[in-house]
Amino acid sequence: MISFSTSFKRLMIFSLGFVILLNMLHTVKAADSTTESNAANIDLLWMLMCAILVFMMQAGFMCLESGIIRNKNNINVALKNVSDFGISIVCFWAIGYGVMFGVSKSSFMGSNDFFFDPSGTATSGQAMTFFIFQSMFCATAASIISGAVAERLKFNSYLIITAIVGTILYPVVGHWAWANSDDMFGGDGSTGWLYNAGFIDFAGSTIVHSTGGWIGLAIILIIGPRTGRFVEGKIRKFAPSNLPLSVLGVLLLGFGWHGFNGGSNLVLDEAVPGILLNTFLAAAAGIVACLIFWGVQNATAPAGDLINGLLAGLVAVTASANLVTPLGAVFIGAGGGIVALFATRLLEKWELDDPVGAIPVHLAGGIFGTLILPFFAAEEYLTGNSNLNNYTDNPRIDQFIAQLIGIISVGLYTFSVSYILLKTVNRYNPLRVSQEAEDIGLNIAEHDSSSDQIDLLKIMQYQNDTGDLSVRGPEDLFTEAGQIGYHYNILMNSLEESDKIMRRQKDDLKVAMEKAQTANKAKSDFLANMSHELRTPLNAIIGYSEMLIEEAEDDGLDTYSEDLSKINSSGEHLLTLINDILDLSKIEAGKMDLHIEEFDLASLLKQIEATAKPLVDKNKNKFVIKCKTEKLKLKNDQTKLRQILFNMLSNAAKFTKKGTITLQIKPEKNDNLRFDVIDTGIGMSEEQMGKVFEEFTQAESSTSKDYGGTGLGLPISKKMTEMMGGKMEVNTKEGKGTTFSVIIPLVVKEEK
Amino acid sequence: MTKILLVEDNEMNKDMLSRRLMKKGYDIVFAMDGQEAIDMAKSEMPDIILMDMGLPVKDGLQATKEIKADSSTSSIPVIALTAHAMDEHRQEARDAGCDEYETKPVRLPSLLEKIEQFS
Repeated sequence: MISFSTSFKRLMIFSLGFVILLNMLHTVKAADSTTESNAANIDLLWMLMCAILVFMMQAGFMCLESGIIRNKNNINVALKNVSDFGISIVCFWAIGYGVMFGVSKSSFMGSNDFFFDPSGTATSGQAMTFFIFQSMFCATAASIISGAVAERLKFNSYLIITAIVGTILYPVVGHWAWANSDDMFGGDGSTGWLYNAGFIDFAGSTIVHSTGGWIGLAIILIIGPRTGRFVEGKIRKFAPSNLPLSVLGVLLLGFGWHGFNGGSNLVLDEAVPGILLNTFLAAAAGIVACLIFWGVQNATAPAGDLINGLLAGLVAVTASANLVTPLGAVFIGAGGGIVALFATRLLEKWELDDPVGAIPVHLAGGIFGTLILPFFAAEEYLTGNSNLNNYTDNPRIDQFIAQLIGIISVGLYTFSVSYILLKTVNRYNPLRVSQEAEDIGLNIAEHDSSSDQIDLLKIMQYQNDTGDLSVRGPEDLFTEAGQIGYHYNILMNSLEESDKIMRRQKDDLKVAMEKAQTANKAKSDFLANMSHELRTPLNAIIGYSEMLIEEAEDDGLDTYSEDLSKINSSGEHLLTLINDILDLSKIEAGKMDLHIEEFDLASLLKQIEATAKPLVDKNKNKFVIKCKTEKLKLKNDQTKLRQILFNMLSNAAKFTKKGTITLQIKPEKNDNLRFDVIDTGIGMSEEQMGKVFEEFTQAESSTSKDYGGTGLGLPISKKMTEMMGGKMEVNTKEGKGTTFSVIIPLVVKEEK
Repeated sequence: MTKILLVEDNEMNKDMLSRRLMKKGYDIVFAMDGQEAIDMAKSEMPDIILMDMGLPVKDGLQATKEIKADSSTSSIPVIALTAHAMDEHRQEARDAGCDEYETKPVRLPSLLEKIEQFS
């Protein structure tokens, strides 16, 4: 590893070489050159190099911001970055520099040196160097803003904002703090009022960084958060387009920051190594503080916190890089990192949307660095600050008050001026893009940017919106998106093919379903009509046979009565069958309705007992009703419930001989009532049990011969139970008996 | 002797039901349609009316309504007879003023019980 002093020496040697080269080119001047002018030239060289390093920060901001926001806006952010550089430099040259460093009016702003051109003056080289360095600072303040307002601010709104920043926002506060007679470049003897008040901000924690942060805050208050960022109290994080690019950006910023702080010394002297040491120590401490913060919580630090931790460490130390010890720089950097971390949470809580964390880093970090300065600066420096007012006899407290005045005045000026100006602009020319533009992304909406990736996305979006599968994406086997497009097209080919098949099948299916529905309706109507028509002659058959039985008995013609009984019972059987078919067809045709009424469980059981008892008695069975909740009042379809229970009981009676048939009623959870019909009859096998609810099926086809029945009773009961919102269950053991259960929902109320 | 007005358009049903009832000792008079039923109710003043619902000219519901609306016949109990084994029909019959309801095919013991109730 090369030690810092070695590289410092190398830097010096390199610089000297460069200066010698310059002198050889300017032979006339070289003849007059003295050791003193060589030293002055080295200072110039140092300042120019630092200016170039600060220029590098533009690349850093571009990478950081375009990497952390969504893909659809990255070109827009990158173009904003490069444009703000152009506009802020031109504005600073035309107006800003004069406002900042011209002859002071009431220590508030400068008043000459507009359209900066020092050529022909004795110190023109120094003045130009100073201008280059200072204009880079102005560009930095402007670039900070683009991150806070990313992804929803119009491109031309941003250009207007940059022009305001470069002319009247940054230069005015710069004048307050930095216009003084001490500097060797272009000093004109007039001073800014904050400088006079003893305010110290070495390289611009407040003047550059907080200024950018304050203006960013004002704008996001005007334009609001990105769509979807805060929805009903929930915070949504958007996917960064390219995180490694952001990290590269942070590293470039850190690289350039050495120029930012190093150059602020204005000369290359013994102080510079210490300033640079403090600068990168604070950056490192900012990162470490975030790692520790998350580490003690056993969590991995989020990328955003790490990036912001490093940057906030740099921002914080910028105010005092020339005044503090390395240990102080570590504390300040770490503190800055943590402050940014909490400020990020606070912004989210207030639903202020800052996509890249510019406000936590530059505003919060800047305030922290500026305020903490009096407590880490060497005391002799503070006592040596001749501008400081003696408020308390304690130079640290006095300095703290001066810092506070600086922070508040800069905040008030930059925030309120930018807020009022931009709020007015917003009224006539909305700063924010349209919702549609935000949705499709600013790359396309504002720059009509196109790439095969965007083209492919457009095609996908179009297909998504229209369902049109015939269009194809761009294919290029030499780009990533082109390869995806190639394979996407293959996928679309087969999708389109199977879609065609599916559509055809769907049409076929629709026709078939319509046919089936018509046929089913015809069947149900036919059954309903037929069964109704069949009942009239059946009435006659049953009636006449009954009458004949009575007459035969009365006349003592017993030989006929047995045959007549067979006619009668066949008629009865046929009637049951017809009634069942009628019920079933009504259910299938959706013509069966529920008739809900309130009734007593007790009276229902009484009716059931009366009608079912003769059936049960037939096979010499015992009939038991177990019910402890007779007082319940139910609200349901009484007739259907009675029909279902009667059906279950008659089934049980049919398949049980000399046994017991039990009707057991129990309340179930969720206001349900359970009816169990338990018999000790022949039972069923598992296979038989599976078929009992199928229409026209008895457990075994031979069963119907032995026991009679239509095989429709249970399917009808099941369907009726389901209509009533209940369910039917069956439990059986071959040879032991069967339990059929009906569970129906009821509004059950205990009778008072 | 209890006099029953049997309103029934189907010959076989009429024949069968009347014979069975006569055997049980009731006096039966007949009507073939709704209008006839209203007229007969006035002229014969039966003790009970057995009313089929599906009748020509005027259906059983309409006939019952008119019988019940006329003060001279309103007190005669009407037992509805119908092949529609559906609840809404039962309710319709009740609404028209029928006092009882019997589903076809008629169960003689059940019908007799209802007749006894009114005589």
